[in-house]
Order: sequence, then structure tokens, then C-alpha cells
Amino acid sequence: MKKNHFFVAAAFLAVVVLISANLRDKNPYGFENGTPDIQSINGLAFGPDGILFIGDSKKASIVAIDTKDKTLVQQGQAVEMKNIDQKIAAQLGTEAKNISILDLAVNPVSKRVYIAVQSMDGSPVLLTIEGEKIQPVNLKNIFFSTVSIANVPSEDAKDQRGRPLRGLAISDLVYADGSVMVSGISNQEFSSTFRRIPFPFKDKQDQASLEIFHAAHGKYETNSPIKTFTTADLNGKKYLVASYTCTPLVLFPMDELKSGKHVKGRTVAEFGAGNSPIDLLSFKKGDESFLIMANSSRPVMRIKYKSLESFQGSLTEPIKESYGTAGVDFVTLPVVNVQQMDILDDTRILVLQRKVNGDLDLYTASSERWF
Amino acid sequence: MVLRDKVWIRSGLLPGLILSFCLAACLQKRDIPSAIAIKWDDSVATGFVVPRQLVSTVSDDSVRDGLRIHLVRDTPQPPVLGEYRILNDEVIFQPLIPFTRGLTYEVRFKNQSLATIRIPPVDPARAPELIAIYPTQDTLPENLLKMYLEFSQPMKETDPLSYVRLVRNGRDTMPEVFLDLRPALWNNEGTLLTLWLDPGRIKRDLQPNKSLGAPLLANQTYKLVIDKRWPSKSGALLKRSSDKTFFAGARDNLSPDLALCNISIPRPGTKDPLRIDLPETLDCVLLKEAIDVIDSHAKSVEGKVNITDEETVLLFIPAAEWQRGSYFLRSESRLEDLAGNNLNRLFDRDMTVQQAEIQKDFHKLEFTIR
Repeated sequence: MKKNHFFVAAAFLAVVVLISANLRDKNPYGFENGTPDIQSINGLAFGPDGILFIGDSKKASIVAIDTKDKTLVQQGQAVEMKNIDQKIAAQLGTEAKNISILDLAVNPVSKRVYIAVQSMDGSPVLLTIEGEKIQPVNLKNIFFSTVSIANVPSEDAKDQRGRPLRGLAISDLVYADGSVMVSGISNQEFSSTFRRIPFPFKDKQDQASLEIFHAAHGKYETNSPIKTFTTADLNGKKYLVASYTCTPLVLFPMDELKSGKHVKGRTVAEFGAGNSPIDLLSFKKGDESFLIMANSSRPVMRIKYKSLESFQGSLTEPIKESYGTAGVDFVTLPVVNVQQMDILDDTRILVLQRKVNGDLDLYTASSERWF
Repeated sequence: MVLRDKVWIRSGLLPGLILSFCLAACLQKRDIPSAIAIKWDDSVATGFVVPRQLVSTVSDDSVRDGLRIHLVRDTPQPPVLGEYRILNDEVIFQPLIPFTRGLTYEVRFKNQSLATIRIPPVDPARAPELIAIYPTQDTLPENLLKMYLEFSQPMKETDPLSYVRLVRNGRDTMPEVFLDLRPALWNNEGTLLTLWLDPGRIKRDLQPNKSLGAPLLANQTYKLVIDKRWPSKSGALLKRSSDKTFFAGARDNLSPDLALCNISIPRPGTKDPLRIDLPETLDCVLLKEAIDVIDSHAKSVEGKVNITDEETVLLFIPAAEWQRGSYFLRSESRLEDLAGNNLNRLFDRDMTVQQAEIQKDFHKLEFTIR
């Protein structure tokens, strides 16, 4: 009799294990089904399996959504859309001056282009672009998960005055090696927060939250908000390649970003005054890897990662010449006013550029043209 | 006649007729093949309501397939993206973003025009206003880091620098003074904008500072000008342009110190404000956000904070009467002065000079109510 009970219990346990394993297989990222509360879309980044991370500054959160867009395509469809702002505006029933394109991301699996748009009233819109076709991405009744990036009040600062949790303006969002990384800037104090959040998100999040500093030429040290960043392998080690709001290009070894409050980047280049970096990309062509940087007041710059690898020092001397540059060698491409860019496929980059005549065009740049 | 009236009333004919009339009137009102209506949600045009009978001869799917909204322009426009919801007697079209004030839209069914509808522009009387420019003082340190613009309504969030310029000595518009941050730094309500004077130019020895110099120079007069073409989120332009003239004074190289605050202690049993005279003008937003009062058990005292006298005085008004005992004025270390120096550290710390680095989350100042 006892033996029978044992077999029944064992069988029951096996069924439970099988069912839970099955459920886990079907929902490996712990998504829930429903409609996420998305109040703004400031950053887009793709993760594995067609999962799109949406940076929501207003809600101070990152939302991971299952786009179900995971049919593998090796070569993306080239996109050539002139006056994209006017075309998007027309489809949204308004004029180009009333919308802003805040970010774009290419799904590395399907090579489909996703664009975050904000209307003048602040409404966020997520669109896809295929050829000349502009379509909304459904954000209702989807599979998603959310993680908060609000600044949690310190220990005993439980608020009696009902002040809201402090939000962050998300300046960039990247997914790499199983983590979502986000840089945020406060609208109050002069500070920068950088978070590295493992994905899938958990209830109790293991977020590495760092304060980023910058030592100007080894002398003056300040807090330094990160404007844009990417990741790279240099000499077999993983690095965060970042640009501060005050222009220098800096490196942080990834293994130093686990925790801590005071992290300094090693300055490897300064690209001139009166300029602000807009976007950074890592691109591989053959055996060679490149860093591509779009700027507010300078052309797109291309830097060989080999140069970064061989540049072991840190800039310690101020640059003498006005508007001069220093540090690693770089090539200036004949492309100015690039607003956004992302990798389309192994050989091409998608570029959103404000042309000299004022037009805002989305086009595909081939590697022959840029490398 | 009187008799007949009575008969009518007695037989119920008159009440019946009145009831029928009312019913008919009600039904008629409900069934009016009224024009297509704008759906308003808090003064925002969030959709069109199309009476079902205008498209009633077909199935729901056909309605979805046949009904289209187009922006009216000189050239043909594509259908507006949005969602069609079909209720009993009406079809509601909700565009992805609200309809734009002042623009005209055409509702078509199977390529036949049903109506053209203009979304009325915002009433000029409801135009937004610039309420305040912080700091409110007219002499500011030459290493000023931030300015805040406060509006009466949520404003368009992108490209704020298109509407802001800084003029030196009444002549020169200063280029690249403010950092072009994307996204711009707004509060959640969209009514308070933080502008950073380019930190790269304020940081000593950094390349932008070396080549372009600091954004502000001491002993010069500046005028911050806010252009009235700045639209609110609803599309209404500012009521008027505004400006603020200020003089750039000496560099601020010191961290603010709570110990230098002068506290005027209220009497017990009153709700009199606790008055704190600050040693210098501090960041107006952080004064409201980073400071509170705690009792001797480290429990936060409920109350309101008012900032006056050009951000040099903080009034804490308690919700309940003051009790005798010890209290602390407590500030998060992130409280900054106008140059971005906070309670723990200077904006740009000279690492070659040995300084005791403070690393406290909070700074406190004790006071006693007797």
C-alpha cells in the first residue's frame, strides 16, 4: 500500500515538473499577457528572439515586449524613404512639425525597422517600416514584462510629502550579453545613472546602479552623464564604449560595472568642442571592427577598434588647438547631421539623416560607402 | 369642450398621447442621423463618432474596410492610422495620436466623402504662459549650471532650444550655450524644463572649455529670451515672449553647507512655519525635493515647503502643530547650489588638492522647539 502511495506521489510530481517545464519552455522570459502601460518611448533596443526593449522615461521603466517578429532573414530589405517625417506625419494625420522621431532599431532577426515617434501632445507611437509601408506595432494584449528604473528613495527617506519617485530621462538603451543597459539623466541634480539589468527581469531586480565620473585630464573630476554608448570586445575583454554629454569618448571594462558608486571612464578620444555625440554603433566588416559615431555638429566618425585596443593610455593633456581633437585616430565620413542609425545586416547600416535641403531621409548605407 | 377634455383624461387618451409624444421625441433625438461628431477627451480631439446609419447597410468588417479618415491637404493623403470600434449605433475612429487642432479631416466611406471636419484651434484665451524662470536672482555665478523654465501648461517637449536664446550685453546671441539634450529634461507633467549650460564648457580644463570658454563670463550682462512661438502640447502658442536679464558675478567654488543655515524656530502648539534662511541661493527644484524635517525618532514630519526670497528662504509649514522636542532639518546630499556644487562635493573637484571627501547620503541640522 505504502509502495502504491509512493508511485502515485512520484507520478504526480513528475507531471507537475513536466507541466512547469513545458510552461517555462513556452514562456522562457517570464512574460505576462496584457497591455503594458507605456507613457513614452525614448529608446529602443532589440534583445534575443525578437524581443524589443522600450525605454519609457515618463514611467521610469523598461518594457520588454515579444514582437513575435522572429522569422530569420539574412539580408534585410533596403529602406529608402525620403521625407520620412512628412510620410509618418501624414499617416498620423498631422504635419511633420508636430512629430519627432526619437529612436530607431532594426530587429536583428527579421531585419524589420522599428521607429519610435512622439507627437506634439506627447503621445508615443511605435511603427514599423518596410519598403514604403508604415504600420503601427500593436501594443495591446501582448506578452511583456516591465522593470522599474526609478530612483528608489534611500533607506529611511520614506516620503511623507508624497513626492514622486525621481525619474530619469533615458539617454540610451542597449542590450548585450544577457543584460539591458540604460543610461539616464536627472532633470534635477547634475548626475548620471547607469543601470545594468539582467534579462529576463525578476521581481527583485539585481540592478547594478553606478554613478559615472569623468576626470578631465587627470585634474578636475565631475559627475558625467552618459549621452550614448555601445559595447565592444577589446583585446578579448568586454568594454562599454561611451560618450559623455561633454564629448569625450571613454571606456569602462564591463567587469567593473557590477556595482559600486564611483566609476571613472578612461578617456580615449576627444572629438572637438561645440559638438555632442548622438549615436554610437559597433560594426564588423570582415575581420575588422569599427566604432561609428554620429554627432550633433560634426560629421559621422569611424574609428577602428584596433586603434582603441592599442591606445592604452588616457588623455591627460588638454588639447591646445581650438576645436582640435585628440586620442585615437579616426576617419571623418562625408555624412553630416545623422540623427539615428542602426545595423541593418552584415553589410549595411540604416541611417536617418537631415539633409542640407532640410529633408529628413531614411536610407540604407552600404559598407562600401562607409568603410 | 371641458367635458371632452375630461373624457380624454379619464380614458387615458391624453396621457397616452403625451407619453407617445415624449417617446417619439426621445427616439427621434436618439435616431437623428446627426453629423459625424468629434470625440473630445479633456479638450483633446481623440476621435470621430460616425453614426452607424451612415454606413449601416454593410457588415462590421465592411465598415472597418470601407471607412477611412484623411488629412485634407493640397495633395491626396494616406488614410490616418487608428482603430475602428463598432458599437450598436455608432462607429468610433480613434487615431494613433489625437487629431491636430486647426487641421481639417475628411471622413470617407468606400471612397465617397461623408464629411469634412475641422478641429477648432485652441481658444487664444487658453494660451500657455511662462510662469517663472529660475534662478529668480538677477546676479548669478559665472559658473551657473542650470536654469529652469516653468510653464502654466504642459509644453511641446522636443527641440526646446529652438525657442530659447541667450544674448550678451544686448548685442551678441551666444551660440551653443545650452546643451542640446535628447530627450530634453522635463518634469513628468511637461511644465518644468531644465536647461543645462554646457557642462563641457564649465568644466575646467576640458577641451570645450579651453576652446570655447565658459558659457558665461563674469561682469557681463545676459538676457535669456523665450520665444512666444513655443507651442503647448495642445498646439497653442505662448501668450507672449518673455525674457530675464541677469548679471554674471563671481565664480561659486564652495559647496553649500547646511550648518550655515539660520533657523527661526516656531513656538510649540502652533502651525507657524519653520523659517530657514539659507547661506546662498540654492537650486529651487532640489530645495523642494531634497529637504524634509524629521523628529527625534527619525520620522518625517508631514508638511509643505515654500521657497521665497529668490530661493534663499525655505518655509516648512507643518500639517500638525509643533510639539516640544528635538527635530532635524534633513537634506539629501544631492542638494545643489547654482553652480552644481552639492553638499558632498564640488561640481568639478580638483583632484590634485587634498580634500576630505564627504560621502553621506543625508546632511542634518538639529533644532529644538521649547
